[in-house]
Amino acid sequence: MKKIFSLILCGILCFAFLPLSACKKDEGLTLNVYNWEDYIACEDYDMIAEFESWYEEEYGEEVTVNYSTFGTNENMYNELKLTQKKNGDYSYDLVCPSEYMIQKMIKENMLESYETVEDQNGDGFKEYVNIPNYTENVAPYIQNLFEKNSWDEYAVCFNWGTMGFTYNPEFVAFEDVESWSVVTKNEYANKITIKDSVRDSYVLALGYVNGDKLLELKENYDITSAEYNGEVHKLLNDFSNESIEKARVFLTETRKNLYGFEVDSGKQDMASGKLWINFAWSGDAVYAMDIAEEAGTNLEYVVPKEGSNIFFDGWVMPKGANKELAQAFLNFMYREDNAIENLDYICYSSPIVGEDVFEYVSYNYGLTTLIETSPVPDEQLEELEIIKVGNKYYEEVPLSLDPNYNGQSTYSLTYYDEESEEIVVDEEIDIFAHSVKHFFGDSIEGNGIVYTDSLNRQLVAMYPTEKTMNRCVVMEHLETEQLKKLNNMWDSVKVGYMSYKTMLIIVCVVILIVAGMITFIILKKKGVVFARRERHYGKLIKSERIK
Amino acid sequence: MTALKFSRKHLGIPYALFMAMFVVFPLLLIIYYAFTDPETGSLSFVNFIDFFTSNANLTALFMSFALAILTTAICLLIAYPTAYILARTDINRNGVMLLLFILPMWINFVLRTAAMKELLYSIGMFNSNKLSFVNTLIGMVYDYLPFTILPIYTVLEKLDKNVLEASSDLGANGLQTLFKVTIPLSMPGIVSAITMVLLPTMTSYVVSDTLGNGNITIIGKLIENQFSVMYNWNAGSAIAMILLVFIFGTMLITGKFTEKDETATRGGLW
Repeated sequence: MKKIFSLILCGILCFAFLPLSACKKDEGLTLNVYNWEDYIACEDYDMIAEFESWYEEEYGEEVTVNYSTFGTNENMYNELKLTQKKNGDYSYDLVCPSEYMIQKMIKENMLESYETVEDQNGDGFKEYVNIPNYTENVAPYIQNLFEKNSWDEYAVCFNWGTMGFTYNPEFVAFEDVESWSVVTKNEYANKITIKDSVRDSYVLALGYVNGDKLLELKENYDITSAEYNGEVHKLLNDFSNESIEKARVFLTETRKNLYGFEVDSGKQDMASGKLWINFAWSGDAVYAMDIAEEAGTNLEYVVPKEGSNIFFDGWVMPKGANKELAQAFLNFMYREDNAIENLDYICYSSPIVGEDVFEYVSYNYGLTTLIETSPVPDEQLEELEIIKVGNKYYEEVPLSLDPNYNGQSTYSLTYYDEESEEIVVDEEIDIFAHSVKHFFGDSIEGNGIVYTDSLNRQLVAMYPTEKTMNRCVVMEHLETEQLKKLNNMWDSVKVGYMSYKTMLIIVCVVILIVAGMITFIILKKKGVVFARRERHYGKLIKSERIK
Repeated sequence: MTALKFSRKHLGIPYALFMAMFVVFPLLLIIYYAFTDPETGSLSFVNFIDFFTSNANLTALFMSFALAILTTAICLLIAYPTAYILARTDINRNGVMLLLFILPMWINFVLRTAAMKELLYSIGMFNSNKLSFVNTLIGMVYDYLPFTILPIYTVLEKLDKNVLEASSDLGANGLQTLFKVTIPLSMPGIVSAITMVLLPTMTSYVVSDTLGNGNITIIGKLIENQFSVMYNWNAGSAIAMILLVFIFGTMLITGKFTEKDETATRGGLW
C-alpha cells in the first residue's frame, strides 16, 4: 500500500515539474518592462496581450512580456541596481522613470541610446529610426523640450503633466486657489492636503516663499517668452540654505492649517467631499474629476499663477536591453489608437498628437451636440453611433464640428435624454473656446479649438494653455548633498520639534521609575520583607484570636 | 558503511535552515549596513552620529515610543478583562465569542485601516488635525487588540482552578486573588502580548499615514523614507538597529517582572 502511495506521489511531483522544465527549454523572446503602477491600459484593452499577439502576427516570432511595476522612482532605481548582472547589464529592457531620474541615469551612464538620424521630414527634430510612430506623432512642444535638455537621445516621453490644486468650486473661491498662498488661509483650515513627498511639496513652499518675486517676473517679462520661463526655472529650483530654511518655517507653520499629507488617497477624498483643496498632479486631478462626476460633484483644477512644476515620464532602455524588441514595443504603443487607449485609461496627457487624439479629446472633454443626419439602415445604428428618434436620425459631434455654431459665448446644446427617449434642447449655457493648437501643432488641421463649459476642468488640466505651460518648469535632479538637506528639512517639518531638555527629563524619569521597580523586585526576591506585609500578617492573627 | 540514522533531532533541520536564511542572515546584513559609511563603504559610526544629532529623528523616536507604550497599555487594559471573561465564564463555552474577537485579525490589515478611517470620519474625528494622534491610537489599538487577547486568554484558560480555590480558602477576597494570584500567574501571557504589540506599533506606518493623515510620523516611516526616497540603506539600517536595541531593552525589563521558572514559556530567550 505504502509503495503504491509513494508511486502516485512521485507521479504527481513529476507532472508538477513538467511545465517548469518545458518553460526552460523554450528560447522565445522576452521583454522585461518596468513601469509605474496603473500606468498602462489593461482593463478593457490589454496593451501587453495586444502587443504579444501583434508581434507574433507581424514578425512570426513568439514574445513574452514580463511586466512589473514600481511605486517610486527611487524604488525603481534600487531594483535596477540590485538586479544588475555581473557584466554590468541590467535585467530590464524598458523602464519608465520621471525626468529627474532620467537625468540621474544619464549622468551615471546607465542607459542605451535610441537610434536616431538627423531631421528628414522638415520639422526640425531628429528622427527615431525604430520608433517611426513616435517620430511622426510626438508633439513638437515635447520633442523640443527633450532636445533642449538633451534627454532625447536616451528617453522618449510617455506621459506628462503639471502640478496644481484640485479644488471644489462649491466651497473654494477661484481667486484664492489660483495662488499658492491658499494653503495658509484660515477659511479652508483642515480641508487641504499637500503631497507627502519632499520633491513635490518643496515646489509649493518655494512658490509661496518666492511668490512675490515670481509675480514680479510676470510684470517685467513677456509671459510667453523663453526668458520668463528661464527666470521661473531659477526661482523654482532654488536649493540655497536660506530658501530651504524659509521653506521649513513656512511648511511648519502651514501644516497646522492642513488636513494632512497624502500621495494617493487625495483623489478619493476629493470626490467624497472630505477635502476641498488637494495639491495634485494633473493626471490625478483628471481622474478625481472623472470619479467625482459619477458621484455628482464637480471639481476643478488650476495651476497657480506664480508658476509650478511640470513633469515628464519617459521610456528609457537600461544598458544591456534588447533594443530592437524594446523599440518595437514602443512603436506599437505610440500608434495613435494605442496612445488613445492609454490616455483613456491613465488620464495623464500623452505626448502623442494627431487628428484621432484631437477627436478623442474633443468628444470626451469638449462640448458635444446632436445634429441631424441622413438616414442609415437600423442594423448599422450602433456601429455608426447614430441615434434614431421617431423618424429622425442624429449624430453626436463636438461643438467645433457643428456647422450651425456661430461662435457665440452662449449657446443652446442639443442632447438625447435616455429616460424620456427624446431630443432635448438645453438652455443657453456659457461656452468657452480653448485652443490646443500650441500643443497639437500641425498634426491637426484647423484652429484646434475645443469648446468647453469650464476652463478649469479635464480638458484644460490635460492640455493647459500656452501661457500656463510657460510658467511651469522642471525640477532638476538633486545631488545627494542637496537631497539630504532637503530631506532633513522635510523630516523636521513632518515630525515636529521637541527640545533636548524635555527629552532629557523624560529619559531621566523613565530610568528612575524602571530602576526603582527593579530594585523593589530584587529586594523582594532576596527575602527583604516590606512593612506592609507584616502589618497584614498581624491583623490576620488578631482576627483569628477573636474567633 | 554506517547507515544514516534518523533521529528526532533531524526534524529541526528545515527550521534551522529557515532561521539562518530569513532571520539570522538579514539581521547580519542590517548590522553590516548600519556600521558602514554610505559613500566609502568602510566601517564607520556616521549613521548613528547622524541619527542622534538630528532633532527630528529623536523626536520621532520619542513620539513612536509614546504611541507604542500608550497603545500597549490600552490594549492590555481592554484585553485582560476580556480574556478573563472569555476564559473563566460560560460565555465562551463553544468558542464563538473568542472567534468574534479574533476574526478581525483575518481581514486584510490595510482594508481594516481604511474601514476604520471611514468610521472615524463619520463620527467627526477628522474635523481637526489635532485629533490625528487620537485617531492613530484608536487604529493601533483596534489592529493589535487580537494579538493581546490571544496570549492572555491562552494562559488564563490553563490556569489551575485549585490555585484560586486555595486562595479563597486562605481568606483572600476576589480582588486580592486577582492581584496576588491570577495576574502574577498570567504574567507570561502579558509579557508575550507586550512583545507582540510594542515593536509593530512603532513601525506600522500604514495606520499612522491613513488615520493620522500623514500628520503623525513614527520611526517606521523614517526607515521607509531612508530606503525608498533617500536611497540610503545604511542610515535606514542604523535606525532599524537602534529600534531593535530599544525593544530588546524593553523586553529585558519586562522579563524581570516574571518569575524565573516561567522563562521556558518565552523560549528562554531572556
